[in-house]
Amino acid sequence: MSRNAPQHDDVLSEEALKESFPDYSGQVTASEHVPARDADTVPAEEILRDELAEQLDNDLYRHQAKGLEALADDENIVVTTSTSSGKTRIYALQIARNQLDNSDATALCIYPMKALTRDQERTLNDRLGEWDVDTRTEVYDGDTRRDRKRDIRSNADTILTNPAGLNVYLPRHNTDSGWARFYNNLELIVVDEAHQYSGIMGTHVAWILRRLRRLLKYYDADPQFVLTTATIGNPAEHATRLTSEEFSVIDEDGSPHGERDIVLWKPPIDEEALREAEEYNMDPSEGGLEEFRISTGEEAAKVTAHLAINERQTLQFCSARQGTEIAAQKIGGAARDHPRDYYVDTKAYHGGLGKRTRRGIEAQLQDGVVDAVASTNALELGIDIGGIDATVTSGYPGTRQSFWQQIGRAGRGQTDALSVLVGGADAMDSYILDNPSYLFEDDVEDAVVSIENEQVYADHLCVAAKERPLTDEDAGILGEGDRLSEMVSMWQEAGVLERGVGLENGVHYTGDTRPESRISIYDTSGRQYIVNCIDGEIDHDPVAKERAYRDYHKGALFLHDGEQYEVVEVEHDAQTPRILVEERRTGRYTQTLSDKRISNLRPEMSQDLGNGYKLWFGRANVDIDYAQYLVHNISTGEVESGPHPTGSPPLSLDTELMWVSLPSDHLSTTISRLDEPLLQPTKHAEEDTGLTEPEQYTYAGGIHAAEHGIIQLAPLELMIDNSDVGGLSTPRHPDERIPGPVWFVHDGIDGGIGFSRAIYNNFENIAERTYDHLDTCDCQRRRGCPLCIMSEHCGNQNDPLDRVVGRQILGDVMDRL
Amino acid sequence: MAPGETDALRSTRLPQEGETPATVLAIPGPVVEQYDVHDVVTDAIEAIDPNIIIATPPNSAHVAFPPVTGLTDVPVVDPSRSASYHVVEDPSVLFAMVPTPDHLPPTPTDVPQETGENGDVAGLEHCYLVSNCLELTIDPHHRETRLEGIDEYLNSLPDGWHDESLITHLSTGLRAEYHTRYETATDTYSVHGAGPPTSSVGAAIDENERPLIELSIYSNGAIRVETHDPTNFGLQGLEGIGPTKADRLREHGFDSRDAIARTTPQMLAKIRGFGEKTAATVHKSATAIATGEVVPRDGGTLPNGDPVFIDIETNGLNGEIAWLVGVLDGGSEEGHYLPFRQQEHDDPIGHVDAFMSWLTGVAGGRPVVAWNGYNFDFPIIKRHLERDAPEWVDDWESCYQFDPLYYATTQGYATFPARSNRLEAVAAALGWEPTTTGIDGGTAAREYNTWQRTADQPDGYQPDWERLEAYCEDDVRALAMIYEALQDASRRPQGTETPKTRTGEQSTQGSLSDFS
Repeated sequence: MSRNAPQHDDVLSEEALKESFPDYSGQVTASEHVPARDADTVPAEEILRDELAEQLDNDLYRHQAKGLEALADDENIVVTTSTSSGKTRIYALQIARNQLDNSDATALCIYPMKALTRDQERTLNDRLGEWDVDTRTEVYDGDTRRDRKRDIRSNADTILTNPAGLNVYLPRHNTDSGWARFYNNLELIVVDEAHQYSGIMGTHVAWILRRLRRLLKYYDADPQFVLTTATIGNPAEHATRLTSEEFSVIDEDGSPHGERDIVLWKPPIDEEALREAEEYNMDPSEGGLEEFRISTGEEAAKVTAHLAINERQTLQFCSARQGTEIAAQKIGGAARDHPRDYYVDTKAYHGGLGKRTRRGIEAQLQDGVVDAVASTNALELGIDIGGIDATVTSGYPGTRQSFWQQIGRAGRGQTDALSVLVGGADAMDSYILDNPSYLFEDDVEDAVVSIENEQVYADHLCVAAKERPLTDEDAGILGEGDRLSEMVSMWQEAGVLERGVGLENGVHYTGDTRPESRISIYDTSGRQYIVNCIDGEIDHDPVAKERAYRDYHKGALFLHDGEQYEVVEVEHDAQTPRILVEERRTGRYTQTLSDKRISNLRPEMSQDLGNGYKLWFGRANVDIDYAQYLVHNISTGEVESGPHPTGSPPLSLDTELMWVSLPSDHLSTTISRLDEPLLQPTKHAEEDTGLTEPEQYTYAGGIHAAEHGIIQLAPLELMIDNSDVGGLSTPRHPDERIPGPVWFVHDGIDGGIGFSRAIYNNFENIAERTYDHLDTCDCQRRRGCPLCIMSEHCGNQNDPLDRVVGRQILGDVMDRL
Repeated sequence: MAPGETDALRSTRLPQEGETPATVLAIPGPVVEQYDVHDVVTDAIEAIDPNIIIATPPNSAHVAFPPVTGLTDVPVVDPSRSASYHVVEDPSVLFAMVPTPDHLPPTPTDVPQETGENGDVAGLEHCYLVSNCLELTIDPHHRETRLEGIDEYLNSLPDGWHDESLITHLSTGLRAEYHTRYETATDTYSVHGAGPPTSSVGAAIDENERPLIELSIYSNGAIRVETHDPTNFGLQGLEGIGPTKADRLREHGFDSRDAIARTTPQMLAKIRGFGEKTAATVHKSATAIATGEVVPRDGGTLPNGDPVFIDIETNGLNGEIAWLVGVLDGGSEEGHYLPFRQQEHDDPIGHVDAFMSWLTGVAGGRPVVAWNGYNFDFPIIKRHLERDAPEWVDDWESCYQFDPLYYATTQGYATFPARSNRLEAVAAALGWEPTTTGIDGGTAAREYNTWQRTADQPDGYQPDWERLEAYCEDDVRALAMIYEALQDASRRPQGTETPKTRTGEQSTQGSLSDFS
């Protein structure tokens, strides 16, 4: 601790926290007590040969033993046990066993982040060294010095890398005998933190792993897979999607932990601000009391500071848009404002920090010398930071998987631990504070990954052809059914695969050199936008075209890492398209307006619910024109200027979507069932110049609300990023298969990434949760609020929207399910 | 032969042996917009020496005007703007440039008589019809490739222009590497690209490239394509010069390579942004080109002993079989050429066995030299041996291998007098002339693969092995000539640059210079 601490309270339980927290005013809305669990172990010698068992300090946890048994039975395993439950030990021991059987055996370990790769290199080297296994483990990625690479390829037994690297290294096997040796002897492939591979990146990783497996067939290697993931709802399915192999699930956690309280914390109303508002005769009921709540960031800082002051090392997780630097400052400030007025040693941790700085903070956490760390989700992954006493999550991290991963960071061995979730201001957080049981159900979201995107598939097929000529034998792993032959024909006609040759003879690649270098795992078209700050540094992932057009047009304001930026220039035609931004503090935000058209519907699946209700899934052309944007004042929400032109070209997607079509008379039957007050246009509706018929407007608001609600709450069931999902609702659509009103939910990425497919498959659960939430949202306003149906991505300024009618429409659909 | 094989062969037909092609230089608009025309385009025209220059999209309208037209007597044509006809005598071919086929006269012999070098269209061997009418769309969602505009194009094509054996259709809207035989119910048309990549076709095509395109046009409809990076020409073609430094040189009156070669490194070092080291590099590079000689730098050592020059032919871009190891034992002029070539379809061992026996026996202890060998020939031979003749791997590993391209460019021990680092370009700059034409590594790979694929058919395809071996011989003699020039240079006075050290992976030149 940073200085000689005075007496401190026990704060690591719900009761203790409530009692000790200064001016506690009922912030805790719910809590869950997790009793302690003893270790469930199996003697190492039952599972491992004596040679290895003798070297181990401890017995094996049950899940480790089961995993190793399954591996000994030639199975692939996916391990989904909790954070710090010793997942690495399973594959480290398998590497050791393989090495002892065959000193030429090699292993490939794939990690989603470079920082994690280095961390695991140390861990593996330490473990294997302790066990006296003579093996060489090396990281091979973009940071590896060139003069070391040849040596590693030729001599390393275990290579650690990332998927983007593997994409580029795979084609080099032909001209490098080091890689050939490595693949020839490959007995184990580890994909660590596999839940990270969803969405676009998941699609790419699935194809990179298929290319790898297909290449290994040529080398006559048939390695086993070990996948590790955070707890997800569909581990076996996800593992199979990623690799096209079958898996045994290892989920019976045998690791011990102490008692743990998980507390949900709602920021209180800021009485002072409310009093001021009343003094100025403002009516707080107009916007609800919500806007007078203390912000999530402020409140989380208070909780973190309180825990740290009481000598409990605390890790605060910030959401992607919050800045960890700002959070660290706030924690320091909150500590000074704390009745005890202490200095709390606080650090910020995020991916943009230099390697050495990050390593330093990790060590300080491990050694217990830093009091509090504000971190992005980077520390959610398996980087070794030892155990800490408490976690504070500032705003729901979006998925239960992620939430549990964060919670798993708290607890040193079998000591007690506390985790606090401070609720934020959006639909998901609001749902969770209202329905805390959601968090503690056994269920976790399904990971969503698709291999259906044809553009991504087509590109990887070219690279696969470069790796080895394509043949009939590749059918299946490189595309089921006619998919392979049809895509090969397409490329042959385009002249980038050898023409006039059938798959029975082997088709060679004839396109430009290095196709692998033109694949970006962040998007589907290979053309991603990089983000540069003109007056400083910005650590921002590349942006896919679809998001660049909507959220990063010239003049757009956006928040990143707690700072506000304005886009000052977009270079669409540059060799590498680029978004130039500048740091700003404006007190304003921007909202992009759009025109959207959905046409050329090609249904692939449907579910007839009877009486004119029908659910559909398929593909269509989605044309979106993000032509204009508005500038709003942050505090009043009013439009300050605009519409301004965005300069974004129109966007044409051919993508996946699901839609709900309703009976042709649904508008009239719905209206006839509404009580009189609901037929009166809202005050807002009267101001809307687009208003024609009040009844139509009311209905349109309802169907729009249903569409928004489903998109906003889909992440309750599925690990999807709903900013990559779009929607459209309309009382009429020209497609003849649609008799009446309809709402669409489409993937926002060209070719689709499996999101709307997953929503179609899980529609009933999502609809049910949405229905409940529309009923109970605190706002109780007809227009709803950002906590239920308003969306920052709506291209129509959230007009019209009608929460009550939306709920009724959803109810009609659910009655048929 | 399977029906598919026939198509493959016809569409990549070989030109007649020894024929000198007509040359078309295609210039996309951005080259004129982004580079100094007097510097870059003048130099490119001088180096490529085209019969005709065509303007291609994007922005083709920027090309067919002064200043480009003022640089040369060669016709500069934008087919999308107006119709024109050009006859080349040797080989005897007609270029008909039209915005649409509506502009064409009924038959090729009806073209206006006053056009062309001699205006004689009577004895034409082949006609190339150039337009901007056709484009390619790749649609992965429907898994199809579409040749856009083809129906309208063929509908408006006059009757006398349908004979595939006489007419080849070129479109500047198609990338130059593209070709197809388009079949209708009644006819087949040979369609070829003549422009840069213009639309997104995924990872297989580098659409950011806006190269200068050299089309070698033969009298039987065969076309060979070579692309050139504009930065290889003019001042930017000098080592150490990017766009900013090129501008500074011009500001100081150094507007040509000759002008730079004539001054001293000390004068160049006075220009802002030019340190002594850059000045020396730039001066050497300009001197090499001006004198047509290799300029050496301090520190490099060529291998001792008589080298064995080799060049391999493989089965594809990412080749894994060296089916031909061409060896030159002796000098570029008088050396003895030994082609070790795979003889039987199912025997990938015999020829490498013979090569290794010769190398370790007759040529024991001599260094093996290959152009871009570290990236291409050496590892491919090693992989081939590991797979098919592992008993030779140790012998191969222990022989001394040397790559003159790596030595000169990556290590920086010498500057070549060429505009690019392709083997043929460097050798040509030193005065070498090829004895074979119309074949490149890609063609050779296709010939081999077709031979392999038709192995079990009674009338399986037989490539013209002699011609392929002769092509390989050409390259290996060119290599010997470059090596001799390096030896000569190393006996001349040297400079003071510090060379780079060898690293694990190099990226000096795509490992596939033979597959452009």
